[in-house]
Amino acid sequence: MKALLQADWIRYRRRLDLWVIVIGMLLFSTIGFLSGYHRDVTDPEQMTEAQVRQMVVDTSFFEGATQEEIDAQTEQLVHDWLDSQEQDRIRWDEEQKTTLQQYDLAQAPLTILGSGFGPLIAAFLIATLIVGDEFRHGTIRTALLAASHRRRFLAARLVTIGTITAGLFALVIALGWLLSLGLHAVGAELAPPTELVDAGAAFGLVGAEVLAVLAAVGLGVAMTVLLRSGAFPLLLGIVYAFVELFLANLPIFAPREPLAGFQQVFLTYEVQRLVRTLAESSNAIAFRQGFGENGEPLGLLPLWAAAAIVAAWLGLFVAIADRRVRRMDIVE
Amino acid sequence: MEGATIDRTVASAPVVEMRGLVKHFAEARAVDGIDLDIPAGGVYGLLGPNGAGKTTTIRILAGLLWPTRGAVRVLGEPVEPGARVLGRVGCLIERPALYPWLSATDNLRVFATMRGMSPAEQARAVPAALDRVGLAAVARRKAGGFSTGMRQRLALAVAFLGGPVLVILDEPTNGLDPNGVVDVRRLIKALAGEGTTIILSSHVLPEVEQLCDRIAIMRDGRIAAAGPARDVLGTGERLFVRFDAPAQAAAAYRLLGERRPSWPLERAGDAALLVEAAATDASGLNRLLGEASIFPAELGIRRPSLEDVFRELTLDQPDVAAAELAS
Repeated sequence: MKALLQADWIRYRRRLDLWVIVIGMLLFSTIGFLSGYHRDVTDPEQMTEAQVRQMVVDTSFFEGATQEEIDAQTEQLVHDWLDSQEQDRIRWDEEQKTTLQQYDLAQAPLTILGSGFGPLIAAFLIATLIVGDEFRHGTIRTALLAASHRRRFLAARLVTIGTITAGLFALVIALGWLLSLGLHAVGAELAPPTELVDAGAAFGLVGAEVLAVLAAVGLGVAMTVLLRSGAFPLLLGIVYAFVELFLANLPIFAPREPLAGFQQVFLTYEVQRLVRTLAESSNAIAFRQGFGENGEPLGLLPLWAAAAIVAAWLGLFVAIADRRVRRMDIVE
Repeated sequence: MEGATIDRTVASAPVVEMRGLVKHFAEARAVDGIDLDIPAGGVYGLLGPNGAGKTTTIRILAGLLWPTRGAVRVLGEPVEPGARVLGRVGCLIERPALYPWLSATDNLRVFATMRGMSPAEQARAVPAALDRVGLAAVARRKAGGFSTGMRQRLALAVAFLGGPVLVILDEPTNGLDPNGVVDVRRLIKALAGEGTTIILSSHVLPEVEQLCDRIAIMRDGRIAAAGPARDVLGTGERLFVRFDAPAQAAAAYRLLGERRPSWPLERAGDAALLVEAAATDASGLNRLLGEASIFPAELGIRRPSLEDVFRELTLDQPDVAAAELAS
């Protein structure tokens, strides 16, 4: 096993596509983080009194009113508008005290993880790339012959991809801190930290994200060995996620219906619930905002059961890949 | 066992044993009951027209395909996908399988590491392997930029790396220029001389004839003939006798017909005969003719070439027949 992992190191340390995926993921994460900061730090545009007055004059119609009445009503509308605008600004400033905390050191790693599906997509791409390479170049023949033990060969691949996945998370978390330090360094506007991150729940949140990504990796590996290609699984992976989300919203799974709660065995559904619940417990602002107020999952099962369901999916994907690799005829 | 010939002339334990080997792909029977022993050392040729089942047999032997029925053993250990003994087998099957983004050295290091070679062993074996296949000068260049011939050489180096006990080569001289072909043949001979057993599948019959000590000819998924090359080629061995005058040939024809009715005769032109007798009968034939004062101008042994044997055994198989018509 150690030899196989060493061979993987020689094999992939110079794989340019792999580095492109990693750098691309870091780039997209950076863009997501900074554009999020830009959105949250920029105050909404305020209209001046003259602009409001002009807008009221242009858009209002005072039928049968005298000039004095028109002037009075215009003044009232301008006042109401400016008052409402001021209320919005005060509310915005109040909200900023929370939202800008996302970019402070404590929240930044969770914020960058919650700003998109970067690590998930990158890990899925890497899984299909690494396993797909063997079929594409025909090296599955010589590699299986040299490794001799097929299960060990697959296990080494999974360990390699798992290690890369863990590395991706470490890089993204480090990037979050670096970007936050950068914002501090340039004197960017940040709110004083009041939303204290719960370390245990935050650890659980990152763990849940890793588990979800590993399940995606398992799915990618299983599909790649089933289809003997690294290209088709990319399309099918997206289709799979959408089909699951579509099924989970069908009326037959609604409360009081015969299949109520059945969608809790779906992978994407449980991943969302697991991440959301942990995000709230950890005070991860970005995750909390990302999920919004609606779409509250049923949440009939305890959290550990949600994790067990995701882990079971991962186990299923690995078992499919394992059986396929052990039983398949290599015709490449 | 039908249609199969088991080579039992092997003194030592065979490196490869195949018993009742069958492989089906959907409706097609690629391999249809092979019994074959391949002895240790030397080069064993595996021949047959396209679709005869050579590559399927080789892939089963390399643990890449699961047999439908039957068993294969290498060094006495059963071979199936994932078998431990496969770590001692090198192969080059069809196109070279390499990592194009790695240098020639790193390609070899990947496989050397997987085979469990230590860094010290690799430091010796990898440059030596590259040197042996003539790629030492381009050791640091990426395999993706190699020509077909260079990739073939590198794949050969991978197959021979770490001193495997058995090396399976499927068309190893494909894509090589004439110098490369000569070098590879030399390399195969040298490795066989060092004790490595080599199974060579090739369509280049003179190459097989030149390199192989033993051959098996496959047809329709079965072994049509197998054994030491000279025995397989010896089938149909005849004595050729040429005389100075047609009258001498006619007299010899009558004499041999009366005195040696067990030797079928055939006229070969006006003044020559072909006698279906073994090479060891040549002196007896000469003596018999001499006693009758018939003195041949030439007495020789006519052995069929591998090409003749191959065509005789496989000509009615569709692929070969089609190729024949096309030519």
